Amino acid sequence: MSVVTVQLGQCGNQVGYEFFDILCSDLHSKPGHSTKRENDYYQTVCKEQFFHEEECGDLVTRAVLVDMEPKVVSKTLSMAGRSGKWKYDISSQFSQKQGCGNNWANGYCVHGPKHQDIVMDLVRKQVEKCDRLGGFFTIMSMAGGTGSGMGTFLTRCLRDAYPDSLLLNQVIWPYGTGEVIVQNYNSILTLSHLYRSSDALLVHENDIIHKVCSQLMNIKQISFRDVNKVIAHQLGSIFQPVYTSEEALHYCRNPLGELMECLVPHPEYKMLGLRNIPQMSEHSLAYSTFNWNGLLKHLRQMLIANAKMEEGINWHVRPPSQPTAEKTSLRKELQFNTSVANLAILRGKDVQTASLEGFRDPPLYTPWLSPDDAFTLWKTPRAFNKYEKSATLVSNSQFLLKPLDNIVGKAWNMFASKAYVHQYTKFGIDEEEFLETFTTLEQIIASYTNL
Amino acid sequence: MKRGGSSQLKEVLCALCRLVSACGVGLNPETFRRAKFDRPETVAEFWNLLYCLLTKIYQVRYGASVTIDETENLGNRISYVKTVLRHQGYGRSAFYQLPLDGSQGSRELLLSFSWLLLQMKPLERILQMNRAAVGDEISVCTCSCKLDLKENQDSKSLVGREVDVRYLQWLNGKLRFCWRTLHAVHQEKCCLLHKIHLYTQGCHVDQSVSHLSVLETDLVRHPDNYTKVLESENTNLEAYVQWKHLEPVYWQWMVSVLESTYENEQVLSMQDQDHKRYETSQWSNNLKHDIDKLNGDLEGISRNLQELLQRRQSSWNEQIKEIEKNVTEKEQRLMFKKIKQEVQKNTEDVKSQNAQARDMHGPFRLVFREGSGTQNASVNKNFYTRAFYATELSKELQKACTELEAEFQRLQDECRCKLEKISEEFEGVICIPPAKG
Repeated sequence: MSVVTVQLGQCGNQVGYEFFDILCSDLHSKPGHSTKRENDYYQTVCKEQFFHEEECGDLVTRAVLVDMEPKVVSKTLSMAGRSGKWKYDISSQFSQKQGCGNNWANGYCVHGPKHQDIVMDLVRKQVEKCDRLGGFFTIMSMAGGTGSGMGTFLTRCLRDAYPDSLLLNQVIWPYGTGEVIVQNYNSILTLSHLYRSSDALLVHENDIIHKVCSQLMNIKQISFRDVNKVIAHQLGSIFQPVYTSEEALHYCRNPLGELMECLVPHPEYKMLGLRNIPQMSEHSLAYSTFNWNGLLKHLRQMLIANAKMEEGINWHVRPPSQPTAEKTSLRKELQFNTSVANLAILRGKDVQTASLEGFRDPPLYTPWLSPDDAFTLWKTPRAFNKYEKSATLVSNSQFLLKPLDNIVGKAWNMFASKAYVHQYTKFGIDEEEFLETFTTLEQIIASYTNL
Repeated sequence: MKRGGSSQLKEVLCALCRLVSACGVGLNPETFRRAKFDRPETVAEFWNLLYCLLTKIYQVRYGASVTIDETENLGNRISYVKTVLRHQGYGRSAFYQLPLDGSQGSRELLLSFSWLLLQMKPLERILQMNRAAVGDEISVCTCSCKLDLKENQDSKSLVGREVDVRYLQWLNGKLRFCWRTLHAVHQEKCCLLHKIHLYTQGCHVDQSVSHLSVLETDLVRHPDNYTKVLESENTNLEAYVQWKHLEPVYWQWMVSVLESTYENEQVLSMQDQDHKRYETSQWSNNLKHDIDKLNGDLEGISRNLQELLQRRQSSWNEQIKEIEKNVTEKEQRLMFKKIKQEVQKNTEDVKSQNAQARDMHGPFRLVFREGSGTQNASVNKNFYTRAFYATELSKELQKACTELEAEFQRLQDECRCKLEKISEEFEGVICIPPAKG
């Protein structure tokens, strides 16, 4: 099964590059404790998913690069070319001379429809190279102009053109103190529109990743590249081949489908968050050892206390003893993070010995789903990206409630005073559309609050 | 002679058991012998045998895969077998009187099995079913089946139990994802099939096919993988040949079984003659009543038909006379010719439609035709009947699809109306329709 990746805007292209780079370096890294045969199959499955092989053996990504400015795309293409391990399909890119000026409406209403045919044609060419199209993976920022506006428009086009394919949108949540004044508008418009056409939204928060870089990776001057590398590492840890069931004899060829099947079957709940452990600089990695029990204990507490990294976890949060007794209201501080569904992915040595019972605790989940329905485990003995052991948790839970509520609140305040709204109406997003967007997001907030 | 006969009998029974085992029922020749003496311990085995054979036969006939439900209890199996045999016209009343707990009647079962052997040709069907399919096949059915969209039986069991609607939505979503995955897998299969057919153009000895099938291609690459498949097919065929060779022995033996039934029956009938007589007389009374009723109906209908015919004929005659008055002879001839052509065309249309409807059913071999002048290149070829183009089939399926979609739409609207009506009863409550998905 193959996935066509669509990189949108500056952020999408940069993250996409790091993502493919990590996949490839992982393929060529030492397999750790897996057998040669297993490692070969691991490589085959990964290649089939994200690359097609040229006759000379070069790996070419199944990707389409889109940006309104030429700079980032051309830089991305040349960086990949220099890597020597993989490259982009040079013809599979689209760029223009002028950007969207951080205006979502400009991307969605103007640039999107204008360039729709060309971009969809590029997508179709990639699709035709797949024997089996599993779905699409789009990478974009939520707050900008090209990525978010045009990305949202193209997601809709993908849904229309490929109604039976899976659609996963990777969105980068902006810094709380972002530089773009209208980032809250852009964000809510992106989210509400994606919610209509996408199957699942995989969210990375820039603030969190930044903290990971500074506190866990010990990076002094954090660049975009550092942040993107962490995101790419987390993405790779989901999509690299795994065994998706206890009895499975082969690596799963359809991780995108299985991921969605276990996490986002319900149409009202499709926000996914990621946590992974351990995460550290390469330097300290060499001097560290881990055991599964410790890692999973941390990961579980990160989940229930809604901590997004292993530093600074609140260890006092416990699952409620009676799940339905008292409903916490949204505006109160959310202490315990209730999940709709969780997927744990373990990679590395002695993975058979890891016990996941802590994740099968009924109070962790909504009363309408049993842990058997709500929790899924994937694993492989093959180490990922130089980590001897690593665990990733993809979670459909209340983790985004607070940031979402924040962003909606800020946007609403701006909207109430009609600030900057004219910049959107002039491209065709009227106030009615804004109101609809607010309704959609309030509905999502309500759904997640009343789990 | 006697000895030779019995060893031959054993041989033929062995062959029979081997043939039957291909449909998943392990049977011992000894079971047959025991059944002859009406021993109760073989009863369950025979019911299972009949059940498996019949389900398999129906599977072949309707193309759909029927999985044998292992958990189905014996009582249900027995009534299934009885129903099917009655439907097929098996007439021994003693068979239908066998108890549902499977406690007795192995000789009756042996007889019914033998009848089935002749009537429905299960052995030949099993052979057909288990043969290694050389060509790439698809199974098609465009027969219109009545949609049964009545209340799902399961929904009744949910009444009274509290189920969160979100859980149902969750399950529904899961189903959708599975369906989409299945869709992708099918597309992949088609794509790979096309590649194989395209790359092996001209490799086949059969000019009408001209390309290799998946199995043939695999056979070329890994011949060893198939020795097992072919060996098992060989064994089946050998067993069949042996069976055919010694079949008369089996039927001779069956005569002796039948005779022993008579002996038994005589004893039996002495015991409960009255009961039986009463039952048969009642049964024949019923039958007589039915026959009378049917006869009456038939007479009525044929009378109606006669009348209708006469009326039509007289009206036609009048019309013809009128036309004749108006039309000269020359015109008449022309018109006759025209009408004749039209009729011919119509009958041909009807015939082809009929044939098509009949043909688009069952297993078909997929044959790829490159640049055959028509738009599509793939041809489906039934083993015994005419071939048709894939586009014809997809058009047919498209039609069925639109019909189903319209039906679905209608049902959805109906539900929406119901919901609206319900929500109107709540005052001051606004219902927001759920997110699409």
